[in-house]
Amino acid sequence: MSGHSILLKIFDDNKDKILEAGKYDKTEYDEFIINLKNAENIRINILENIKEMNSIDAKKLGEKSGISEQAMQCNIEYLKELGSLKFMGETSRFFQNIIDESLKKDTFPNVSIIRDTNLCCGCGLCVSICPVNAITYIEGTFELNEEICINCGLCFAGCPRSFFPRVIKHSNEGINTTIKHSESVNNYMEIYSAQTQDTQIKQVAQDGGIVTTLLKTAFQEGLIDATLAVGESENPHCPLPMFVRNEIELLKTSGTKYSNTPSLKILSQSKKFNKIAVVGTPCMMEALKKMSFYPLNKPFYENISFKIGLFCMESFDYNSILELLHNEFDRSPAHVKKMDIDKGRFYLYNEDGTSVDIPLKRIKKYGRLGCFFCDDLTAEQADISIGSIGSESGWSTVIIRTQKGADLFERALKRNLIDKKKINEEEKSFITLSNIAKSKQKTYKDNRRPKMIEQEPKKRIKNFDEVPFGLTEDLAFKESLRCLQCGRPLCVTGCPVNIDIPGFIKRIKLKKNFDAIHHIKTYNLLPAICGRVCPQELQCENSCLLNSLGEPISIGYLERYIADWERKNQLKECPDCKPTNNKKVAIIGSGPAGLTCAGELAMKGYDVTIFEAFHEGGGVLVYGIPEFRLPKEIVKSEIETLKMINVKIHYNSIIGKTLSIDDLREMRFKAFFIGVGAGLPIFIQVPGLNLNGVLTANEFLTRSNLMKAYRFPEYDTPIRVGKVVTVVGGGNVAMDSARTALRLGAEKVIMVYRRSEAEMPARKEEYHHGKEEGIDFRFLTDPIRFIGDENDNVKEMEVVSMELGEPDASGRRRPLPIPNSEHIIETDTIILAIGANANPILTRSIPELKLNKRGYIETDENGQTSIEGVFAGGDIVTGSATVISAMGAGKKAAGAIDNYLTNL
Amino acid sequence: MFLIKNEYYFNVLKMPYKILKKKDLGSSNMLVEMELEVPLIAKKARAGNFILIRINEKGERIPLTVADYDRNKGTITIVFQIVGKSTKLLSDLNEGNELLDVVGPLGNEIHVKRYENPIIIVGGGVGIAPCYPQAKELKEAGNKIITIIGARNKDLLFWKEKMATVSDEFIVCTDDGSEGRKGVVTDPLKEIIKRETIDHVIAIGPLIMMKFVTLTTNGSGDLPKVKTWVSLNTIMIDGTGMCGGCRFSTLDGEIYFACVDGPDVDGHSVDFDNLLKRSGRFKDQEEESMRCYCQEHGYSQKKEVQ
Repeated sequence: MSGHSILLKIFDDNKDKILEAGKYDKTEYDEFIINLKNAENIRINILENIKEMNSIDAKKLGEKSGISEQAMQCNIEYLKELGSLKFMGETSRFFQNIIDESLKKDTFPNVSIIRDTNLCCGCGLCVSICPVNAITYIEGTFELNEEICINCGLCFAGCPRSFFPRVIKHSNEGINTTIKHSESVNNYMEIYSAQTQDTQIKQVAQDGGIVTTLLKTAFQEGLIDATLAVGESENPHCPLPMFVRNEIELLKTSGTKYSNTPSLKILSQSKKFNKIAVVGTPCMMEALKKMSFYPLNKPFYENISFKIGLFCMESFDYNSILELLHNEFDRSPAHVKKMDIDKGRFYLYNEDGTSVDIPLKRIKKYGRLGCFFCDDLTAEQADISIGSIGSESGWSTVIIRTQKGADLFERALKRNLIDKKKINEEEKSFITLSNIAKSKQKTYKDNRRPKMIEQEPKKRIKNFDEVPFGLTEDLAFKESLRCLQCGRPLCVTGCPVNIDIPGFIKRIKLKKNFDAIHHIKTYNLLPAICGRVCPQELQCENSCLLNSLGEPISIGYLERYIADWERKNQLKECPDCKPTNNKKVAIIGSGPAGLTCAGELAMKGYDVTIFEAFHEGGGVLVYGIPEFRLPKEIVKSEIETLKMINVKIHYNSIIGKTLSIDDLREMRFKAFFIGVGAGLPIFIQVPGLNLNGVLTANEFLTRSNLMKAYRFPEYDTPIRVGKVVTVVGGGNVAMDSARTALRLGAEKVIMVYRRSEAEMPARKEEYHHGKEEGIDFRFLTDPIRFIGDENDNVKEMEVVSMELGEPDASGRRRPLPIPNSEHIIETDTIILAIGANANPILTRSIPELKLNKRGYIETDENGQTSIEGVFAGGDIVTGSATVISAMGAGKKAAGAIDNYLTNL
Repeated sequence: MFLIKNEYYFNVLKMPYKILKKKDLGSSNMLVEMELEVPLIAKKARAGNFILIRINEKGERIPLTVADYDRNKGTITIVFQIVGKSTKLLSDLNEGNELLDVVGPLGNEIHVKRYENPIIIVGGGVGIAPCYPQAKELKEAGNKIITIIGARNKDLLFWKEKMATVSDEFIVCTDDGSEGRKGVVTDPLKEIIKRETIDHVIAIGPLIMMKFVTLTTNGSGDLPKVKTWVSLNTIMIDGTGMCGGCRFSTLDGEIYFACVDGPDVDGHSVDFDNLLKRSGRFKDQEEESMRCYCQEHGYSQKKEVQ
């Protein structure tokens, strides 16, 4: 069976290494392997059952495998996170985007991904779990030695932050009818306000001194022979996890340490004790709970007798504590006797007994980022949880959660070591605790993204001004604060041009707008454009960590904000360029792909010339996208930036007509980038196509946008818009046409699309805008005939209703006509927006250039075509796609061109 | 030598689009000939090609067929008739003035080779001009060229001598008989087709003229069918196959683009009736544009522009 499991093979292959590391002896190793093998076999079995049943029903699966529904759910979560349930459409939370490679191996990645995405809560469990001691914890974070690591992924599997099944969260140990459940504090038996009666403890302890008192009781009763607690290191207020073996040592560890302590990193040393108590924060309790459900490193778990949890709002790295003391109090830790939080304020006690305090919210910013993702205030997974919230000064709130916890508390009472007052759910104390716990549960949910103010729909359909106004300075700053500044930012991997998104947002946060724009432009020279027309919801914002937990950062809005700020202040920020190397590169087409490629190469020091067929630069940005979505001034301004870094641009130059590739070679161009787009409109094959009033979206939009026909007769190019305009199609181009028609005075605009709303490829934001503006959407409707009057002017469109059948090659359900559902739409203008094909003008002029069946240029992944030195990217390679994907192709090709010319 | 060539291209790319010569043609005050300094286009231009021009920032993109080219001088010649605001604006420019944009050469060139039988070239009105390079190139290739040119009256005729020099047989007709034969171009066309075997006919002129030429040569009557090329000067924006504004329908209902599939196309396949209706689709706007222009410049619309 071991042959089926890569994990078992890893352990098998590394047996010597593991035994040498010393965490397991031979017997423990064998026992662990047996556990692991059982668990793996169960999961293999579950996978087979899922395939057979073709559903993921925990109850049914459990019945079939003979395990509890709860255990089944844990296994399902595990498999889901491992990516094994992809075939059922179930994906892992968000790691999959960047760890696909390791998932292919059927093991989890190592835990450094948790650190790099700022999720690490600093519990230290991974250090203990690692069978080969590859992980060490230093200064608020851990280091993973890749050379030692055996890639077993146990650290990730055990980490409380990687995944924590809800079924574990709400589970309780043992069946006990006296267990109550509250939304805010989870499962509990009783809640008390309590105070120690031990005079020694009273002197040193925080609040009620209950933790120390309970541990003392446990020692005295012989329930434990050691406890994992936190003492102080040589540095004042710098905590140090340690095992305490008796009451005397215990007193030294009393008192709260606000600095994060990775206590569980020494859990593996607990083997020398028979029965231990673990005192720790909610995340540590979660870690221990998770271990009880998965066979990860049981030898270190089974000797835990008591789990004592501490309330925790957030923890602070030691360095952050130093920063806090310095910034807020101008103190060094040596001069601080004690720190405390009480009644919404943070107190600092001096050596002489005096104190200073500040509101709690001022210390928030020093908190650990990983704590942002924690919804557990009251250490829900402990046997007994203790904290100050909900009790008056000098008292502690005690939540007894399990029978074990209740017994221990009872013994302390019997020894008269504790004074207690019961707290009922209706009491003020409980309500306070409950409210604070709830506030932690929804911290990030309250952090909503800002809304941009938009022009009123009624007003905006009468003008061509931009619809959203952009973020104000204040909102942009506030939004920048929400960014988590991840160490391994997922947003960057979601961006086709890999902009350092956290980098520019950080500069906005520091109010260094100038640096921010400079920083963006090293990655992307067209931020004002991308900020407006990129489908961020499918790219960077989709990958944003906050997206999986709430609302993602408004990356697009911020990018637009910073680019607009630059223009408003008439700054022309240029990226840093390498000195010129005098190598000439020709860029054919000035659309998004060409502009990006040109900018990238200019920054690398190349002598770049763009050849554009039209009289204006920007390609689809000027002829396709309307003014109200992308003001043409912005395109001009972004092209100006390119000129400033010495990119030359020649208009009215059609390569393949005005100049040939051979001419360009004579002009000493050494490399070529073809980014001519997919400009040839597709027609549907229906009768009446050539009636007057039937036109392509390309013609309609080019007239309005490039030729400014919306300002006819001031501009000479005419445009004809009837009373009822019907647009055929469901993409962004169709949307742009419909909204342009409204603005040109159409009384009614109808959009017919043959699939349903869900399949519509237009950006959601634009669809929403269109709906607000009153466009009449007719889904599942397909034209079959255009009907004209005696002068060949279109007057009606005959359509048929559709229904969705089986999925087609694109994965979308194929629309099929419903028999006898033909009906008439009265209309006097029909705009066809059903896509575009490759324009053959350039490609025909270079017969040796290899094309695919549909006339698009064939390239490798870096844009290299079949001809040496000739590269291509954007729609002419991929067919119609987005602005940013074309830019991504331009950027990639620039890298390949640089490579090519450097090695020439 | 290499260096010089390299610099040459960059220099001409920077050149403005200058009007070197301008003259009125005929005596109608409606026809203008211009010579434009556009070395790159002149270098590549062939019979059948057209260019697109834009006069100023607010101007339309206007397609104009190449009526002559001089590769050495780096010029091309255009001939246009004043029909609306844009052509009026263009006619108001003088030698030494510049156009904002000129792009080309666009469209497909004609097939030039030595054909066995003579070729008839029929030019009507302003369409006489683009006949010239076709006749010239075909004549140079050793073909016998029979040219028929026609117009409503003698004031609208031009380039008689120029056309005669590239023709083996040269016939002039006017509707009113003020010069040459009285009658339409299809009259001599019929006679010639009856008289001898013709390889093909090239017809360039108003849509209605081209329609009747194709009806004459389609073999429907007692005359033999003769392959006929017509040159379509439809409404265009980009001229590169992008907008589809120039599209025309064949009699079988297929859609083609004049800009990239033409402008010279098989005349017998074209649905002229549809094309005639399509050509007038911006009539109202064209009139409005002209009215505004005339008001602005104090012209009386009727008097100055026919």
